[in-house]
Amino acid sequence: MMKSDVAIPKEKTVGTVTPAQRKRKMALWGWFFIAPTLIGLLILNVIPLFQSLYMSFQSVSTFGTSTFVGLDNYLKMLQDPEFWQSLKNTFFYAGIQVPITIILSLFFAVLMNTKIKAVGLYRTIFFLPMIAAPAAVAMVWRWLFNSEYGLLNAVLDKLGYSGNILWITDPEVAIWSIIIVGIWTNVGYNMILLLAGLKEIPKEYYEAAVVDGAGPLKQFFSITLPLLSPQLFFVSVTSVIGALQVFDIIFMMFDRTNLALKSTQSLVYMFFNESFVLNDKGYGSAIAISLVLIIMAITGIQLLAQKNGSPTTRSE
Amino acid sequence: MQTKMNKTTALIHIVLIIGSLLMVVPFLWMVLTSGKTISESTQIPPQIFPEVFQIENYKAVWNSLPFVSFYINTGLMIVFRVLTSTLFSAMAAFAVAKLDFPGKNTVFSASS
Repeated sequence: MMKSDVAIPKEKTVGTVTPAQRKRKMALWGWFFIAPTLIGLLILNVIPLFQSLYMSFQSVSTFGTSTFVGLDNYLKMLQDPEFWQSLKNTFFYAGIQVPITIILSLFFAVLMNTKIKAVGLYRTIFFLPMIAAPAAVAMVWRWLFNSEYGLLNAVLDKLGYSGNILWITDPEVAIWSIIIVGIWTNVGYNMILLLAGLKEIPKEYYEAAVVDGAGPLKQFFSITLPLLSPQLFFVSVTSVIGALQVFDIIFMMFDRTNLALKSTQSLVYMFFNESFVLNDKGYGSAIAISLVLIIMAITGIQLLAQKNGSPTTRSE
Repeated sequence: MQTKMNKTTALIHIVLIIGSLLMVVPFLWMVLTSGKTISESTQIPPQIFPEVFQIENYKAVWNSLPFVSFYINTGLMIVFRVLTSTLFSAMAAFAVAKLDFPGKNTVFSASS
């Protein structure tokens, strides 16, 4: 018995498997682990995207019957001044909100990265807007922006500015009100992300810089900024995507009868309006698809810029 | 040197306090307004503190909407959303990071 036991070749021993079997088993487990996420993505993201794409080539009537109309929705969109106005509003909002948000986030993150007391308290306070429901935030700001009994105009009045600003009804001003709320909501969150990045930069670099005689500004531009680029990149990509999708602030702060709405409504707002208020689902889908393409293009450009622009990228 | 350091620290505190005020004021205003009467809340110029904090506002809101079931709904949603998303994300992350299987890279790049 003992002798034959020794003579048995290795692969026949109980419990071991051939490399091929092992690979199969691993693949099975791998797919098992990613299956829930994958199915979720498929049902909630991929299928609706293709449904929208399909619907954008259709004319959908109020009763749900649809006919194929080819590129008609897109042609209508390109000739629709409302679409171009919404596109302009969206880009204007993103183009101003994102840079200011990132600069302010970075500014406060750097201040909080110093050895001062009560940093935890400041951090919590700055993060507050993020934990409040967007709809509630928009309602509070609507109250503050009120041109008659709003706090903002009262404070400006106390500071000596007597002109009554129509924050929500003046078409020239209204988009700035949305930008202010956008910045206020996002500064804290981005600041936390950047602060985490700042904490990762080794203190030795700054000590060496001080020995070499570099001032605070030089340290910031030569050490902090380049070493923070992965976080800055992430923050700018997510901020741009978020800004291009702005909807809830506009929806909550502006009544449907507000005349300033035309000069503030974003692409998502127009999509919502066409699809669910005016019930033109085909046209609404065309707008949504165009926004997806715009976001993909801009994110793509940012990815390329990151790859070419900075040699300090950590490639993990 | 010591006083210069103190001055910088003080300056940082001042800037952070101004920032914190800007962050807190809308919330504070909401809380204060929630205790005002209608005439107090629409007064020109605005009144900062309510004459008497109107706890009745809260009673009225509590009685006009089924808040108990709102809270239960929200609680249930949070529990299941957090549990499933954490579990599934962890599973997917483990599979992508530690296991090697055909199609892994395609799936990963497609979903991110």
